[in-house]
Amino acid sequence: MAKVLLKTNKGDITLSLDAVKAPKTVANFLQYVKAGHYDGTIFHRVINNFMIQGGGMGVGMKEKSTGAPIENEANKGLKNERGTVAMARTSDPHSATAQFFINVNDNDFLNHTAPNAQGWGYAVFGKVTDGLDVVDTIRKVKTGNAGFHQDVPAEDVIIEKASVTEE
Amino acid sequence: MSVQCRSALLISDLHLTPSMPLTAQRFFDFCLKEAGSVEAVFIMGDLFEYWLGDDANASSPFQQEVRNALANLSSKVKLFYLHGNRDFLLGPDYLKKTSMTALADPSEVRIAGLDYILSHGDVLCTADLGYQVFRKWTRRPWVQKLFLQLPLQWRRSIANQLRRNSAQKYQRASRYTPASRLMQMDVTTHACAALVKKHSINRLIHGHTHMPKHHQEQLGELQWQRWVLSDWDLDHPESVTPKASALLIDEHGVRYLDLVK
Repeated sequence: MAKVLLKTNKGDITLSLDAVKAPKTVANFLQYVKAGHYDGTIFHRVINNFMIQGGGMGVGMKEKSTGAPIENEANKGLKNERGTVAMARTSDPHSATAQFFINVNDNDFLNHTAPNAQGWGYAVFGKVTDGLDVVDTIRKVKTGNAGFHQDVPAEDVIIEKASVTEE
Repeated sequence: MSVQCRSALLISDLHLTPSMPLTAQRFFDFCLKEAGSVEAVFIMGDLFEYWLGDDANASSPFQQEVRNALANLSSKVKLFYLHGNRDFLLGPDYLKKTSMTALADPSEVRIAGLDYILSHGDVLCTADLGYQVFRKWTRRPWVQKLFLQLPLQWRRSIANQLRRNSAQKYQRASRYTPASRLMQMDVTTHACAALVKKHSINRLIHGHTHMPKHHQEQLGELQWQRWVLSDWDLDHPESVTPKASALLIDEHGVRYLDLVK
């Protein structure tokens, strides 16, 4: 099971990725990690009791460019439970690129229910196996508005370095 | 918490009346188009310009069209109704005919995993003491029962008189004390804080004030977000910039959906 270490300014988070249930998503995520894409990105959408989302914006809410969108593997059985990591996307189910989120609650309503735009759900591809306390620290930070974005941390929560620790 | 959904559209203050056909048409289009893309639609008061009872004008073509639109919509999505200050007499008979579920004011709902307090908003305008007294009286079941037993013509003239009085009151106030008028016609921070504290939910949505905006507010240790819904008016372009919008909530967050098209 591949492992990725996110070194943040709030502490370390270890993600264990499930390449069996979400092979394409895991391969995609590892590719971004190895390319250094996540280094210096922030958790830009933080909602206590819901999730913390990041991996797409740099400090100052500058959006980073990404590769092509990937297929949504939410239909392969993994559920959006507390401590799991899933791909963020737009309203198009198959639009995930680099942004991901960590569920801080059991978010059943994000699970796959039907193969359509309404029910496709969000593809979970791993879980936090170390540093859930760090996630809990992050979800409680003070947030506010930044431009068109809501729920943006008042002080940057930065992923300083993302690295593959186990292939 | 009983009401839960993955996605929702919230609207209020359409003030539907046959004399505003463009606004009404936009509502009918909304029911057919945008409203079908979510799991639940919340109508948060003052859908109608006024409501004199479920029996009043029930057979007019306009009322039939609105009723059909609502009944149609509730066959596709979960449809909730929260009473406003103009249509608080909308009764169980009408709700049943249109298959709408009534919500108390305020109500707690969970949308896309997060909790919200919904209110029409008039109860939060606590700086307007005169109105709050009026509100308390008119929400008493026995007063409502008595009113609804009056002949329709009487009800209509009472309603007209009340609206004339209120128009005068607010015009007078705005002429002399613009600042206090604004304060009276908006919700108060204290009323919002009390509501947020009572429900332990820091996300509040209301209409009524016709001042659509997302606010981040704070009183002492208490912090909350407040979204105000927009009123709709597409029929007076000469004096009012056309406006119509809904609040859309799903897993991507909360945002205003502009319906002026």
